[in-house]
Amino acid sequence: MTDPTRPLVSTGSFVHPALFYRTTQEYVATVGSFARAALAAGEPCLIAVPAGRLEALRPALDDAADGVELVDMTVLGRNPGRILSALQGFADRHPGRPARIVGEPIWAGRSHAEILEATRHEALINTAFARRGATILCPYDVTALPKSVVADARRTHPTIWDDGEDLASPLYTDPALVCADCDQPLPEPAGATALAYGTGQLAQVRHHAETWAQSTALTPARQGDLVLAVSEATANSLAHGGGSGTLRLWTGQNAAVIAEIRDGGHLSDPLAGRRRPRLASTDGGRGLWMIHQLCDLVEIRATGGGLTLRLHMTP
Amino acid sequence: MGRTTDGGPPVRHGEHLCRTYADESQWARQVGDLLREGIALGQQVLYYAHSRTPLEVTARVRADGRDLGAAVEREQVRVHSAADSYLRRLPLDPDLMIAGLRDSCRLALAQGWSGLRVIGEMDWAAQQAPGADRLLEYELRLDTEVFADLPVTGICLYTTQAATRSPAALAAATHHDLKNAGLPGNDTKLTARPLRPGGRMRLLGSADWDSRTELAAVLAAVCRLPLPVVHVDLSGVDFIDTAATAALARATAVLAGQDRRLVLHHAPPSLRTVAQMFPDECRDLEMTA
Repeated sequence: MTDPTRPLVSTGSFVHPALFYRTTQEYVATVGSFARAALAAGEPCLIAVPAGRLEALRPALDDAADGVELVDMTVLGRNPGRILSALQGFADRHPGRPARIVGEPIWAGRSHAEILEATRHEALINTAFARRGATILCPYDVTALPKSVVADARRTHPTIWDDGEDLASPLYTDPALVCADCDQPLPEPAGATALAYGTGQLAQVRHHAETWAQSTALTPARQGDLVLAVSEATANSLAHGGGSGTLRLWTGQNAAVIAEIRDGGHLSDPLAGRRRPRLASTDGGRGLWMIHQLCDLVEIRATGGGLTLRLHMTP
Repeated sequence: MGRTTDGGPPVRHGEHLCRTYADESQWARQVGDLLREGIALGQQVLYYAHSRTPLEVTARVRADGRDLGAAVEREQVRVHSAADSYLRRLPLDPDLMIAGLRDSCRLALAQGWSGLRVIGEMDWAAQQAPGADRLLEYELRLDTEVFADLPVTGICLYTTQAATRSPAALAAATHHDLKNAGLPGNDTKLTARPLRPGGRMRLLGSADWDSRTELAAVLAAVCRLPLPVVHVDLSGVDFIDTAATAALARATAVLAGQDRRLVLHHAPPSLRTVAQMFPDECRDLEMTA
């Protein structure tokens, strides 16, 4: 049986259940108990779920709310690629204490592209926390989410909490395979501008991106963010991606701005960019982390032919 | 791109300029003009040869006209070998070079000349001479430590080829007579230039992966400037990426370790954004409006 009140883990072990819920009442009862148990055990607790769910939870947490870090996942996890960095950062801030985290990265209304990257994130949680003492509970609204999302949750979570049962997931899959399945072909855009670049041309790349961004609906500050993200990605092409690449720019639905950087690189570490780097680090993960923080969605495709990043920004 | 620096207007006291030449005839024409200017101003002219021997230079000068020959005879124009003078003791030491320049000026004044004009062939800087990486520091210090209080006029002579090679290219780009982009054919992405009045530097260009070598050289020079507070004006820098921000943070830490400060003026938005994303590591970056 599911018992969210019992101590779930000891230091050094990791538990990553998916919670399949059907009603708000069930959600509040299970997540609320989980949080209260964490506080009772003196364990740090983070709840990162959509704002509407946070509001439903607050009354159930009572006084415990003060001891729990509450975060709106639609803000933190707008780009799924930056959630893992935040979760690891929370655990890092409490060394030697098993963290209890509730993370709901997929909610009804997420786009297909966002769901793929959120699924990749769910798989990589298992890799990132493999040897850490932590419990990360991931609620899934099985009445509102597509069946494919629920099916993938069974592949990315070693255990499932469903209707009061705590069961091992027989469909749990190696994170690398799940990530490979997320590498679906990206749709070809219409009307993209393309610019090939190489060493010595980063200033031209930025000028090109900046000029183009001025014609979009992005605010000047967000235009600057786009140029910074493009600069980091294209510099990575020169440093780690074979020394050259191609930048494509276009706008999508609802005036969304998309920049694609394609080069000959590869992603040797699937966790690259998913942990806060040091400013002075030079391993390439710093640029990707920056890109995740600056953009609303980052689609990553690592294939034998190279690395493709699609950076999305919504006005 | 910068304008052609061949020829140009007359050079005044306290100026520190760069001249380039493509061939021997252009060299001879420019040197003749520069010598005659100095002679007319009553300056003593020291010519430091490197690509030619002093004998060759002297012979060419004498051949250029009786007036020049007479100036050589009365030692108003003196030609030395750079290798036998300020390059004798390598690696290059800006402290010694500056002290030597000041001494030479005092001597010229004591001999009754109105000031000192120094013309130096600088191609050695493109030939990886020991300590050539400190030439940039030397050039950045001259304004404050020589030209500000002594009647010295400095002219650095480069072949057009040498002026575009590192580390000579960075040193050549410090001269005030060059436009922001530096010398024609110079693809240096980031340059530094002293601001007048002295004690401040202005960086020009972009600080990114392409210019990381230049930024490292500039910051190394900036950290060696003998100033308690080094002011760097970034108004001429359109972009600073994360790696460059890290380099600025390192330079700040180096100076702080010596009880000195690096103050950044007019930081571009990209630097401010990166600093906000790495608040702990950029806490000590001093940025003014």
